[in-house]
Amino acid sequence: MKRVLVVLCVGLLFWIVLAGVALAQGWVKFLDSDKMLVDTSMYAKTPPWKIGFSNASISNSWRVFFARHVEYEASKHPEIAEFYVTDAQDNPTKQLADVEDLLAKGIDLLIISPATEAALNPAVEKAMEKGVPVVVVDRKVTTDAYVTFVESSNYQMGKIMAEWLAEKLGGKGNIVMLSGIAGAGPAEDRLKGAMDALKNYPGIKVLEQQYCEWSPVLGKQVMATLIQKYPQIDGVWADSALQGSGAIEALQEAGKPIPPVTGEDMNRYLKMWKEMGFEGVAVSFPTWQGQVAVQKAIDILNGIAVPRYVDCPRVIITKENLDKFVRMDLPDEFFMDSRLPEEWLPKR
Amino acid sequence: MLVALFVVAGIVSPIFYRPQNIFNVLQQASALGVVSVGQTLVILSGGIDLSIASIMATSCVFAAALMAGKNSMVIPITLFCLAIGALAGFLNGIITTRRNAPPFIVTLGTALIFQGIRFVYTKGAPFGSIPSWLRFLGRGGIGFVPASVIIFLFLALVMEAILQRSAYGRKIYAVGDNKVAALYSGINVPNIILSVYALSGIFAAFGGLVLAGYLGFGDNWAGKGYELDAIAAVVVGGTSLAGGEGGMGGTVVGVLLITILSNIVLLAGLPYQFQQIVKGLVVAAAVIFYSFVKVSGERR
Amino acid sequence: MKQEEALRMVNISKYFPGVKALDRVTFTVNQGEVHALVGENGAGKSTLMKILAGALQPDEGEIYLEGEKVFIPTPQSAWERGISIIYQELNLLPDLNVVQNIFLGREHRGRLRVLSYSTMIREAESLLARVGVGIAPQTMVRNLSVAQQQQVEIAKALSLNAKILVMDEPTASLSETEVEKLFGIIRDLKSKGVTIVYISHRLEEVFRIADRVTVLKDGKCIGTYSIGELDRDKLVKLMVGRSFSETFPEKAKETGPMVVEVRNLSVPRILKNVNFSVRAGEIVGFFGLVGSGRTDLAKALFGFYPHYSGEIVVKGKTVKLHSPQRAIAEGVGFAPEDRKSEGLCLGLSVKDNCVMAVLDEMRSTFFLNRRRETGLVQKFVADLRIKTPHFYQRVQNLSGGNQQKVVLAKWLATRPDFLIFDEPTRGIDVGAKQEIYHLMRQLASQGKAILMISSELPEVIGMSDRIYVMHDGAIVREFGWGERVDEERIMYFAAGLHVER
Repeated sequence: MKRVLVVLCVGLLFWIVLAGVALAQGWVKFLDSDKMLVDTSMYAKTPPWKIGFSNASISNSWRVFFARHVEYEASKHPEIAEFYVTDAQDNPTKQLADVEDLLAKGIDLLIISPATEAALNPAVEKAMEKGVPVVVVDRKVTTDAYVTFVESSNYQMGKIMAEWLAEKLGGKGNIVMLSGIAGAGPAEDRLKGAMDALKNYPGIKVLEQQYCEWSPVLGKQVMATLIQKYPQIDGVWADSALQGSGAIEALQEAGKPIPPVTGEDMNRYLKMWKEMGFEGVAVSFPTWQGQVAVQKAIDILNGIAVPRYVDCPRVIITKENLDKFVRMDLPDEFFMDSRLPEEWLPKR
Repeated sequence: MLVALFVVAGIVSPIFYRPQNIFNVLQQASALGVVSVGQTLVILSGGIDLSIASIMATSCVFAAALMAGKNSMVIPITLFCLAIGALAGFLNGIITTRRNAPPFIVTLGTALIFQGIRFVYTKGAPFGSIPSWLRFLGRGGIGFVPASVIIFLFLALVMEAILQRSAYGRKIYAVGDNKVAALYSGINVPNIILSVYALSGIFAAFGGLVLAGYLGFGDNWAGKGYELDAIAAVVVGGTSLAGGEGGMGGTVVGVLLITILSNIVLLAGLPYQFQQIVKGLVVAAAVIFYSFVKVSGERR
Repeated sequence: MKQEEALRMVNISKYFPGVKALDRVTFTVNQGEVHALVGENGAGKSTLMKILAGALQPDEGEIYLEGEKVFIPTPQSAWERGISIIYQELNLLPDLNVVQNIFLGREHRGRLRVLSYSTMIREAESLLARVGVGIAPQTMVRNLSVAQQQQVEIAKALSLNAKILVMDEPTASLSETEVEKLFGIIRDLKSKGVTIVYISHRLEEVFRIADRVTVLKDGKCIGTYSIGELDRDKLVKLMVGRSFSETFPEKAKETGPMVVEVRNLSVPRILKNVNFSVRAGEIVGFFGLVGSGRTDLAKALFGFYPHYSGEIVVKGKTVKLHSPQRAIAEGVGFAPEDRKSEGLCLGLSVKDNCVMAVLDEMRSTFFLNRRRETGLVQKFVADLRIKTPHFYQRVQNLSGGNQQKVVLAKWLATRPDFLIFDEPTRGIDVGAKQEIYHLMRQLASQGKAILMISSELPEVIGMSDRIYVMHDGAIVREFGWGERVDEERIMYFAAGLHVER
């Protein structure tokens, strides 16, 4: 019993230290070095290749689409003899073990979408030490030990949404902000981008900012209460269509005209937008960054220089090009800024 | 306690008393209420059910996918979802009784199984839509009373009558108080335990449908956190986690209390996450309160 | 040769609520002897040994070890002073191996506090060799037989440098050859100067192994005798001879038809070919020592051993009692030994407990009929004179006697033909005992067949019309109607002494 306690305590301490490291390390340096090209001639190898993809999870539809893009792109390259995929189920400890397994299989390159930022540092460091180049995608690690980092800037996404909203309101009005999970990297980055943008619009008043845990149920419940609390809500900034779609439900049921609401390329939001006809904008958080990651991986194994940092350009969907993206026949949780051919879409 | 909370709520924000806000609160309480009714049965029998949230989400996702917006499908698919809930509960019950395994672990396992089932089924992206009849259940109302809360209160009332007035209800109390003595009194203890888990599964599936109606689409994580909220509501309502003591009346109060707390936290302009702290404090206060009541009751 | 005194416990008293468990007991053991401690169930043997082991504190009295006055506040301090007890239920951890068990909590550590496992294995081997057994030190305890586990316990005691080794019913679950082996070990330890206190119900063993015997009865010390002074009959007389003042209701004058007849009832390893019968109107007593199978017999009759073999006939019809529900349906009622954990739902009300076994009969359509329910409870509360402020009182707030009456009410509600009482008066004060006795007799005279299990001899003799004595899962003797019976004779069979003759 005592021994179990000791192990638990040590484990806990370990965690605290890791968390501390994560907070202490600045991550801004990515942005400074984003123009830099990395020489990859040392990683060049003649095919066939073995590539490992360590995914954090496929626990929501965005991650499903993301993973599909990775697998789709991999399937297009006959040079890849083996393409191993692991799913860490959002558990960093499992992901550490996954990477160990992949390395043991003798992979030539590792693509990793980390479950949390700092916890996966040892895994990527070990891979790089063994001479296995690492492509980090979607979420970052806090060590420098990788070749390239592919993402789509959450900061930019939040910023563009906020700018659109402020412009739509003519620089004047009361808004409500609905974020994802408190402390989660993407949520905080999007919020930071939005807040920076709003500094330029002194006429915009943020009535309240709440975290809704990327849950449609919570989005609707929180919005329903806020509608009671504030008689005049001119706009809603939602960092994702998950709580955004819940909020739109609440706004619709309140019986007043729906104010401008921001969203992303999730089909559910696009469908609601098209059906209800409110003012909307969708800024995509491209699911195809997974595809880009595989392309960069192939460049690396071919010895072609790759940028240290890749920001996949987001698509901005407005009233004008909405019809090009929305598909009333497809499921709610499809992401429409997709580069998957029809047969690669998740099938029932 | 509920009355005190009503007063406090009014002081924090007069908006609380607005009919529309009360409507919202009652509506939000309903799904939690329905699953808490099931959880009460399980806890009274001396068990615990952590698979509720997973069953809710599974039922929600299946409802959207299989009803596909058609009112004609509402009744058959509702029955299908309830059957899935019953199956999950049956699984909980059979493993708990046959293998004498701790329900905490068993129900957690069932939760994972059903999470897996719905992800395999939806491939991670739920599809379909919720027909208007089911939407009425989740968000419609008769005057200023939400339809869902009427159903919740009706279910609570029926179950309370069964608990207090039927042989089956009394057996649940007996099993919860002392399984061995119940066995020695000729009560078929495994069957009783099996049945409460099955009922809890059915209530959870129904709660998932209420939530689907409220939300309007299938969500893979609908009902997330409801299993712990339901336990909190049951405990705050005075049902003993040791089993054999408590009832539905307390659970109704507990459910309303927890939902109102979330509402007040938002009305007061506190971060939503603050409600977790408040919820925790209320549960702790309730536990301490009931332990005092119990001690003083014993002295009589 | 004047022997050195190893242990002297002087004027030890211990009170439990309402009971005087030990009343100024003095107990002296000499160095290097095997000293038997005997007495009936509840005579105080275990309490005395728990005090010696530091598990209980005496309310008065002193303990001397080798002439020096000591206090034993905890089990640890008992070990430190060289006192080890091997309880009847062995205390080894089944999922650890022999070495780990022997050195549990005091593992040898080398440099850097690392476990020095090899040292421990070597030491365990030499300890086991001292006990004279060949058990591989790294075997899991789970895989050992009971006898082997006991040998490990002895080795463990030796590793603690035990000077006094107390063995509580060590032969209870051993086979004949294993007993022989154990006696060999005991004699060997004795020759090495270890003092042994040997507690046993099996008097024939006492005569074989002990040097001296101390007899306890009703918490008092009757005396210490050298084994040569005694013979079997004399020892039994010392153990049970008493003057008791309890009065019992008059016995049955006549009996009705046969209600229960049991033929060749066997449950593997538990019951062996049990044959008996109970008629309407009679109280049949079952006496047996701990482990004799008396409670198992009751459980078998109540459907807890569905895989029994043999035949149970209730009112002329052969029945299959595969579950308690089945047993109840056949008119069997069972008031179990442990009221609090088996007989009652303590947190529920008097009313709920009274109707618990007949809930399904209380229904009209779906819901329970309240009037019928309260009528029933009212009747029993009045008939049995259950003292409770109201029907909704929690049973845990009632006294032991009233709790037992609630159990009785629960069974009477099922209108049984055959009632089993297991230790009906355990933990009940004298006045309430009388009431329970009279209620039982009243029930019998109303035509119920009653089987009473008891470990209190006066109760068995005072209450029963006929008596069956059990030993080792079998009935070894029946005392029929009007047959001369006394405590000595019952104890003689219960202790298994008849086997020797």
